[in-house]
Amino acid sequence: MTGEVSDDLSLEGSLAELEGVVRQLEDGDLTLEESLKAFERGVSLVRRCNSLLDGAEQRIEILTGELPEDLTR
Amino acid sequence: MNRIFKVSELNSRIRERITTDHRLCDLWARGELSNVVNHRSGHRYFTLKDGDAQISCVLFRGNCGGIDFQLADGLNVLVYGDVEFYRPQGRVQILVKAARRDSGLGEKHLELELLKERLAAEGLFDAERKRAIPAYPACIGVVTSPDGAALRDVLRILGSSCPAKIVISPALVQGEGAQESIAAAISALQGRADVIIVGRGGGSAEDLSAFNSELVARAIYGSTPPIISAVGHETDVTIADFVADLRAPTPSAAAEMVRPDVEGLREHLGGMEARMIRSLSVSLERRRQRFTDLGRALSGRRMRGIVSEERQNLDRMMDRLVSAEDRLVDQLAGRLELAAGKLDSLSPLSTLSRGYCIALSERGLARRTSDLASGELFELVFADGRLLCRSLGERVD
Repeated sequence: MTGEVSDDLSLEGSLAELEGVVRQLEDGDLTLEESLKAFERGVSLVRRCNSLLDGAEQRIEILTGELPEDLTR
Repeated sequence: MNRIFKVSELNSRIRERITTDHRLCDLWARGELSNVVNHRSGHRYFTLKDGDAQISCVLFRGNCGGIDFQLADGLNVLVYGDVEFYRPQGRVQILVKAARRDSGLGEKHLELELLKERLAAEGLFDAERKRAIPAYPACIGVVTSPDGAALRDVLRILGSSCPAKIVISPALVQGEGAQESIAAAISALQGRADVIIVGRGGGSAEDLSAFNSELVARAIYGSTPPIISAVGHETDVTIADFVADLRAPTPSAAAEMVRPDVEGLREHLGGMEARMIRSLSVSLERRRQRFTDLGRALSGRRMRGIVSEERQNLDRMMDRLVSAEDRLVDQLAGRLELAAGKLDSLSPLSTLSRGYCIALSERGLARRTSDLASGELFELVFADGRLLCRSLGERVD
């Protein structure tokens, strides 16, 4: 487990992992080093989720044909 | 010269004529029940009539299963079956295979009811197979007409703050070829979308017929991503609604159902961050306590000095951690890591219990060979006690 969060990780995936990290930390079975790593990972995941929410520049795609003009921005 | 028939020959000939006429097979007839006879054998005999005419009907015991009402004189019904000719009595009758109470609905409706029953029996509507709609889909698929109001409604509700990609899979939603088009549009989204909205705005029963087709029902059933049906209609529920994992009354409502709760999510994230900080504080506190205990147990002024210094650092860090604003978290994580490295290397407990020793001279911790002069007395600290030692000088191999 590293602090780096892949750009491919979805919101749903990030959240699920974050919940796991929080549980691990709360269970308190980790060594100090592991705790800090988990904490760091958790912080990165929170940051990833927030950036997904912030950077919600909506993308609309159409599978075939063209998007009607009023929907292209 | 006209041929003279025996009655039995004649009746055979009539029967032959009637039973080979496809227009007299698999038909629905509407009328009022009269002369209902429930025979001991389990078969039922009755007459179906309207204002001007009547016809005999027979319902064999084996066909009674699908009839969910009691046959009684005066009821308006629709019967389904084949016309046949009962030779011994020279009687034309309907061999009934199914019957419905007549609520004034047309044949299309009856066919729909039969399809619904068939699909239900096959398990397409089972509640157990309905999948949950993902709370935070990364990609929302929309199957609808690119020119319809439904698509605009969906996009308006999802708004610009929705953290999901929207993929439109265009389909004809009414008229010739609509069912095939909808089924193809659903299949084009497989492997792309995390949830699919299939819908259109309201319309007449005829307009909605594609959503009542077996083809669309099977496409929804076979979809890997969960499907929300969103056919804008108030009175009737379509077959697509029954098969879908979730039914929305309108396309706008479907969009509401998939729109992630961004505000709620931000709160949730804040909560989890706070929990992490709290757990880490608790864990650091526990370690600090152990560290203090160990420090007390060890002798050597220098060692104690280091311990006390680190403990103060830790205290300062704890104070900041406990009162940390969210913005400080990242920064703290870095500091904590640094401190943790130091702490770990200093932690006598973990090191000593793994079988290492610490060499302590009069001047404190001996970190390298040059810290101890040849012949100098020093202490080796083990987990369970100390040894007094004397250096015989650096070994050079």
